[in-house]
Amino acid sequence: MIETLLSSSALVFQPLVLLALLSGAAFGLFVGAIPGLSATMATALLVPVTFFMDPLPAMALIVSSSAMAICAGDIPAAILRIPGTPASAAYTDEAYALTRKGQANTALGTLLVAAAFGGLFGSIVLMTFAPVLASFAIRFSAFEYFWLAMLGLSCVVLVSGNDPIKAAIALILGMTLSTVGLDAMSGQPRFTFGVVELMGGVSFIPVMIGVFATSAVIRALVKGRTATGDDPLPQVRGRILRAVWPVLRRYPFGFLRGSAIGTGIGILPGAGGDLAAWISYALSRRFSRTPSAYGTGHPEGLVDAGASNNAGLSGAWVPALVFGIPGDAITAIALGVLLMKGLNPGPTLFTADAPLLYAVFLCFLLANILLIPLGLLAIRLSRTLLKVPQPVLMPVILLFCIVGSFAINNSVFGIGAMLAFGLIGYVMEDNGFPVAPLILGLILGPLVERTLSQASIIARGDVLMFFERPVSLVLGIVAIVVWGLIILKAARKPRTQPAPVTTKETSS
Amino acid sequence: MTRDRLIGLALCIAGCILVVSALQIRRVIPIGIAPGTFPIVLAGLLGGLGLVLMVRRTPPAAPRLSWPAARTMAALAVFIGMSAFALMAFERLGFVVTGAVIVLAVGWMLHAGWRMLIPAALLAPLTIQVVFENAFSVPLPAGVLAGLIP
Repeated sequence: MIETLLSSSALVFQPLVLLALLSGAAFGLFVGAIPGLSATMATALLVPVTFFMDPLPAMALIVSSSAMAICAGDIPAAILRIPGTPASAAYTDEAYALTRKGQANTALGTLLVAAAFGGLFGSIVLMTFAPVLASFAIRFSAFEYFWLAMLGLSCVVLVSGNDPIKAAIALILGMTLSTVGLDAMSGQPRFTFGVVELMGGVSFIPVMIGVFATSAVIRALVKGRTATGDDPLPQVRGRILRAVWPVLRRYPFGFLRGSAIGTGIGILPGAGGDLAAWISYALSRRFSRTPSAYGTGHPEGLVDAGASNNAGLSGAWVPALVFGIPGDAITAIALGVLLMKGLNPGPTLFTADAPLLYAVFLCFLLANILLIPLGLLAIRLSRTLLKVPQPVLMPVILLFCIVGSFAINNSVFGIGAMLAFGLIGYVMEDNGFPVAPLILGLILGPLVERTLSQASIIARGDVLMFFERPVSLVLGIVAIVVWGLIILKAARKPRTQPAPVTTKETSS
Repeated sequence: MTRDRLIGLALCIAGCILVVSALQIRRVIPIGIAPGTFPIVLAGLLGGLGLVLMVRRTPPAAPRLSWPAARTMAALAVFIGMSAFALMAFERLGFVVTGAVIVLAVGWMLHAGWRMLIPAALLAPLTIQVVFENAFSVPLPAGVLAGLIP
C-alpha cells in the first residue's frame, strides 16, 4: 500500500499532471461561476482535450475541473441568487439571504471551506473504501454484474426527477442508442438503417456534448437573454477565512454530517451532488436547534449542504471505479474517458493499474486542497467573473462543441450527432425528461447486454441461476424491490407537472 | 391534448418501428442471446412506456399542446438553419469561416453588442483552430483559408 502510494506520488508530481490539475481547476472555476453552465458541461467540454493526453493528466483535468466547478457555482448563488450549477440550488436562498445581511464573506467563505472539507472527506472514503470493495468485487461473476448494473439503472430511474416514467423513458432511450452498430458477438448490424457511420455505434462523446452543452446554448437562444441580471454586485472585501472561523467552531458536526451524507448519497448511482445537497440541507434543518432561522441567512444549512455536494462528487467515483457503474453524469463522462484510454473500470483495475488508480485518488486530494486558494481567488474575482458577457460566451461554447465532436473521428457526422442530441436534450428538459439517465443508459447498456448474454450462456436457460449465488441473490432482491418502489412512485397521482427547465440544468 | 400525450404517441410509433427493425436482425451464432433480443426488449419497453405516457391521467396544470411562442420558433429555426449551414460549410469553407458565421448568428440572437461580437467572430474560431491544430494535432478543415492559417 505505502509502496503503491509512493509510486503514485511520483506519477502525480509530474509537471504535466500538476499543470492539468491547475488548468482543470481554472476552467472549472470559470464555468462553475457562470450561471447556466454546469459542472457536467465543463467535464463534457474537456473530453476532446483529453483525447491527446495520457490517462493520468486526463483524469486530473476532469477531477479538478468538476470539483472546482461545483464549488464555484456557490459564488453566483450567494451574490446573485442564481445557482452557478444545480448542485448549489439547495442553499441558494440561504446564501443570498446571508449576503443581503452584509455577510457575503461568511456565506462565501463557509461554502468554500465546507466544499473543501466535503471533497477531502469523500476522497479519503474513496481511497479507503474503494480498494476494500474492489477486493470483494473481484469474485463477482456475470450474474452479480448483471444485477449490479440493473440495480444501478433502477436507482437512476428512482432518484432522477419527479416522474419515474419519464426517467425510465430517458434511460431506455440511452440503452437503445447503445445497441446501435455492429453487435460485438455476432457482427450483425443493428439499427444502422444502412448508414455506414452508424456501424461503429453511437459515440457517447457527441451525445454528451450535445445534451449537456449544446442544449444550454439552445436554451439561451430560446430565452434570448442572459442569466445574470443588471443588479449591482456586492463587493467582497476583507478576510474571508476569518469570517468562517466562528462558523467552524459553532458547527463542527455539520461539516462531518454533510460530508458523510453527501458521500453516501454520491455512491448511489444516479443521485450525485445535487440530490446530496438537497437532502443534507433538509436534514440539517430537521435536526437543527434553530430550524426557524433557516431561510433567513443561517450559516448552519450552508455548512451541511456545502460539504455534501462536493463529498457526493467523490462518492460517485466509488461505484464507477469498483464496478464500472457511474454514480452520476460526471463520472459517466470520466468512465468514458477511462474506456477511451484502454482502462477498464472494475475491480481488476485495482490490481492491474494500482499506481495509476492511487495517483487518481491523490489527484482528488490535491484538487480539493487547491479549492481553498483558488476558491479564494475566485471569490476575489467574482465581480469580473459574473460580468463575463454570456451573449458572446455562448457562441464560443458552441464552437468548442463543434470542434470536440469533430475531433473524435475527424468526421462531420460527429458534429451532426452533437447538434441533433443538443436539440433532443433541449426538448427532453423542456418537457420534464431528465437527461442524466440517457447518458447512464448509453454507458451501461453494453454492460447489461454483455453480462446478460454471459450469464444466460452459463445458466443454459435456468432463470433461477440468476439468484443462486449469495451476492447475486441479495442484489437481485434489492433490484426487484427498487423496481417495486419505482412502480409505486409512478402509480401515485402526480401532484404537479414538473416545470420546464429554465436557468438551471437537471444535473450538476 | 397535452405535450406528454404527443411525446408518448411519438415514442409508441418509434418503439414499433424499432421492434420491426430488430426482428430482422439475423442470428448467426447459436449460443447466448440472439443479437436482436436485447434491442427487441428495449424497443418494446420504449413503445410500452410511450403508451403509458399517452394514456395516463395528467394533472389539470399539465402544459397543453400549443404552437410554440414566436421567440422559441425563431430560436429553433436559427439553430436548425445554423446546424444545416455548419454541416454543409464545415469542410468546404473551413472551420474559421463557418465558426465566424455561427458566432455572429448566435450572438445576434442573444442580443450581443456588435463591438464585442465582431472581434469574437474574427478571433475565437481562428484561435481555436490554431490551438487545436498545433497543441492537440486536430486537423480542422482550413477550407477557403487553406495556406493562410499558421
